[in-house]
Amino acid sequence: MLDMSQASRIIVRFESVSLQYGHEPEILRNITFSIAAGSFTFLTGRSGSGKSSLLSLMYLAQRPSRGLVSLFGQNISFIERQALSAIRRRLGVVFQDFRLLDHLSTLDNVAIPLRIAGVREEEVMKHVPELLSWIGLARFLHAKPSTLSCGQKQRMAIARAVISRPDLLLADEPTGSVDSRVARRILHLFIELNKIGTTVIIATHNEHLIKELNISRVHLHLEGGRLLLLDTPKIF
Amino acid sequence: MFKRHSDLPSAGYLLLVIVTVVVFFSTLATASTLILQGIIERWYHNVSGTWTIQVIPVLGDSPAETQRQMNSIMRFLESTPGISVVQPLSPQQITQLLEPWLDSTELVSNISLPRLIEVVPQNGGLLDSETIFVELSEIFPNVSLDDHKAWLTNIAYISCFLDLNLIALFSIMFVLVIVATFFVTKSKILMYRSIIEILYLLGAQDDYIAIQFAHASLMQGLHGGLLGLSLALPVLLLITGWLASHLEGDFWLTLTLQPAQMAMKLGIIPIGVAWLAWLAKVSARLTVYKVIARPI
Ligand SMILES: Nc1ncnc2c1ncn2[C@@H]1O[C@H](COP(=O)(O)OP(=O)(O)OP(=O)(O)O)[C@@H](O)[C@H]1O
Ligand SMILES: [Mg+2]
Repeated sequence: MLDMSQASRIIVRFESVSLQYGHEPEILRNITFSIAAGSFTFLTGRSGSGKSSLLSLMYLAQRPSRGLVSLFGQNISFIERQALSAIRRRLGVVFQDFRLLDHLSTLDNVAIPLRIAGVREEEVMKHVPELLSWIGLARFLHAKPSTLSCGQKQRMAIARAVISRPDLLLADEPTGSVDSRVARRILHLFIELNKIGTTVIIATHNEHLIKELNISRVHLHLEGGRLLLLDTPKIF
Repeated sequence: MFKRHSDLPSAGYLLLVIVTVVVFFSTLATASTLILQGIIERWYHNVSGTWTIQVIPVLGDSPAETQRQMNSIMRFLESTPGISVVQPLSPQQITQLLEPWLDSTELVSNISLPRLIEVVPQNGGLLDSETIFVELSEIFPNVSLDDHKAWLTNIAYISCFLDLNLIALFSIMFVLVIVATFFVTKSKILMYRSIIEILYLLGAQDDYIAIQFAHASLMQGLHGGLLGLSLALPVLLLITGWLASHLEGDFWLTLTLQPAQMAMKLGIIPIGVAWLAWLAKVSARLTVYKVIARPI
């Protein structure tokens, strides 16, 4: 049993979680783990091993078939609609398929989380271009996603995920479509966010990414529906 | 002025078209009701507060004898306290009145016509038509009196009916706009399902999405309303122009006398438009709450 001080530092908690799509075999089997606030976690596994599925349980796109998922200390099975969206606003998600709104410009796509949070329009118009120019999209403020390259769309998705400085960042293959120079820049951004308090979880099948990084991190690995802890940080 | 960012694509103009049509017909209906009300009001004013005394010539009397009897009735009326105006209609006036019904003046002049006297009782006078009639008919048995009560009651009914008609029409229009907004919003929600899902995943609350739908409906309602109005006004001018050239002068006077009054009463229509737009806004918002199902 965790005491209160420990419990409050746990941001994500899975207890005997299983996930199954329809009548298919279970993708995730009896998974138990927890993520501490302020940690930096890599989630690896072969393609099809269920990394995206695991993340989708965390960003509340679906409920587990069995077991218990809790976020920020709240069991998501017993949460009201309004509270669910409050939890989602504390998350930043980089979806593997980006999920950008094709009819909106880069600026408006990235502004969505701020507008949802009720940030004033002047602030939105100040912060979004700032971030976009940092991430190398200054020239594409008014471009629609369909006119951008895959790597540019990925950066747009990342900008949208971090614009509101989330408590928990879930990034699904965030460097899958960019060259190694941009990939390092993105990882650097995540590390900076992590330093100011964002808990980061990155799902990737690219294990080189982890080796390059010289930071304290957790390494979780999915295999055959089970989760293995490969690496624990030195300081936690 | 009402510009506001939306995360949803603008989808079609069905609601705008519906509101345009609704406002177009409501404007025409209101204007024609106002014109009719104007005519009726004029009739009412002409007729109320006057009595008509009808003197039927006694069979065999010469016109001169009838005229003598007319004169003594006039004297009697003039000496009765509480009467302010006694005005006989000349035989020519009566012939003119009847002509449209009987077609030829010649035919009319051949029949022995009743003579008419218009009587206006003093304003607020206590004189009642019944007393005068009883007194008159004691002396002159061939006299009848019409205080237009039945006629006035009918006019009041017609006027009331026109009002109810307009209210019914507006109610139907309002219901139509509510129903149209519901279905338009519902189909938009289904169309944009994937976008709405993304917004939810990014933390949007129901309100955030509902307000966007509501604002879109408000704008379509306002634009549709203005469009409907600007289409209806030229048509209205055409119709009144046509009426002016085809109606008898007396009728037309009723209309041309009160354009200012008309304009003021037509001012109800922009208010109605704002109301419709607001209605579209609210029903869109309620529809979102009703229809939306979250991805989790
Ligand atoms: N919505 C869904 N319905 C049915 N099956 C699904 C669904 N999403 C994923 N799957 C299946 O679940 C399994 C795991 O998919 P998932 O996307 O979680 O893997 P992944 O580890 O993210 O793979 P990748 O590295 O290719 O992104 C796959 O076999 C996939 O076909
Ligand atoms: Mg995946």
